[in-house]
Amino acid sequence: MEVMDRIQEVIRNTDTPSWVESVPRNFGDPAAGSLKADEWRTMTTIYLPIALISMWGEGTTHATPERASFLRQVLDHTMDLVCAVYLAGMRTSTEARTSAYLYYIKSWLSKLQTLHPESTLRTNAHMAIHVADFLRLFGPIRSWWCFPFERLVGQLQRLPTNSKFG
Amino acid sequence: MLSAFSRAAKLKQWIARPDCPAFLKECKRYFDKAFSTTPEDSNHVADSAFRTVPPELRATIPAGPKVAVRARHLHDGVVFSRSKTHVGNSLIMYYPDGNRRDPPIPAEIENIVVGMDQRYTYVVRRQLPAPPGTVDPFAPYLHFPAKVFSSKISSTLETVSPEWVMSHYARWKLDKDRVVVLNLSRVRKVLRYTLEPLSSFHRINSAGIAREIVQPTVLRSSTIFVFLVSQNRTVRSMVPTSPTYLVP
Repeated sequence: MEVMDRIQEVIRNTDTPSWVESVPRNFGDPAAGSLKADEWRTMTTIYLPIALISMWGEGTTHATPERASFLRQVLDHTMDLVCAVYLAGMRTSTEARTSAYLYYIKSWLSKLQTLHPESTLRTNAHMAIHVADFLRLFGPIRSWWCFPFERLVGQLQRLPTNSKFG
Repeated sequence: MLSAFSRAAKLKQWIARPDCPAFLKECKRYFDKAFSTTPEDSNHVADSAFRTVPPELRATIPAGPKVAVRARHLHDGVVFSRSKTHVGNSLIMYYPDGNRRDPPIPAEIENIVVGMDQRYTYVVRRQLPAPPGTVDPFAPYLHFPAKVFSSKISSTLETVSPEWVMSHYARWKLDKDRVVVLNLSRVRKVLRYTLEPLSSFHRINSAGIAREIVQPTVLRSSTIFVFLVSQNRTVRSMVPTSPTYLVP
């Protein structure tokens, strides 16, 4: 898989500051397991877009013009989601950013089943649209996201138990 | 355990507030000293560390009696390193002379020097811009702040004050001549575009890509922008902007 190789290469060779959390270098291999929410965030905002744009973006060559145009559509579609995640994850929020977020997430959803007919729309997609409302109501996502609770769940899971309830 | 967790969270929040009593902050400092597993990172440089300016820095550092060369610097909770120590921590986007009206510039910290007054200065080399005519596949995606630069860094050294630094950036080598520079700031709007001639609007429009243009005179407010949406060929303004600017 040429695409997976490129993604893994980008993960391995990108210079990032130490505060950027690492993601599995063998992303995509069965051994890597599934990513956690925060790792997905790092993947979506740093490594995936760099890898995909470098393979499918302007200036790249493909076997046929049809193939090139299709890949470009897939890329532009994916970038709608990347930009939405990027905007939602900012530590300051403005009305302009919220509107832009809504624009991207709607654009991504509207093209999803055309470009990927095998996909099904899930409840998450509906919820993603409401994120714009929450950005307007509560400000930057950082102040109301679920990572603190995830951390608590992690702490609870690591408690030593005798595997018996009660 | 749940209530202990939320009590701890509330306490942390209180201590982080600017109106928290100084006494409590002092308590936290001692608490951290006693129980924290990570050593307190101090930027203070002992007198014995100061030497005469190394020959390679003499042309860049203003003539002073003595300086100390450091591997890293903790500024505002973020670690910055020289490239020899940690390349990723040495890649900075900075505003030359601290002027925030112009877009920040990517550079690599080659050395960190401290003056006798304990002031830190980064000695950096800029990431050179890609040669004119280079294809930048990242340009169409306006809200993804990545841009193609030359893989070469400048041959001249410059000094940067830590206050001029906007954020770190991530760098990936696209090919032997080009690197991708991805600004990692999560706060400030990244301003990559300036007003361009009308023809380029049309080119962008027909390619089917939304693109953002920022009026240079309103950069500081950082929220005013225009969205060009190609599909229906309309110019959509997300927030009111100056009419002189919506020329198409």
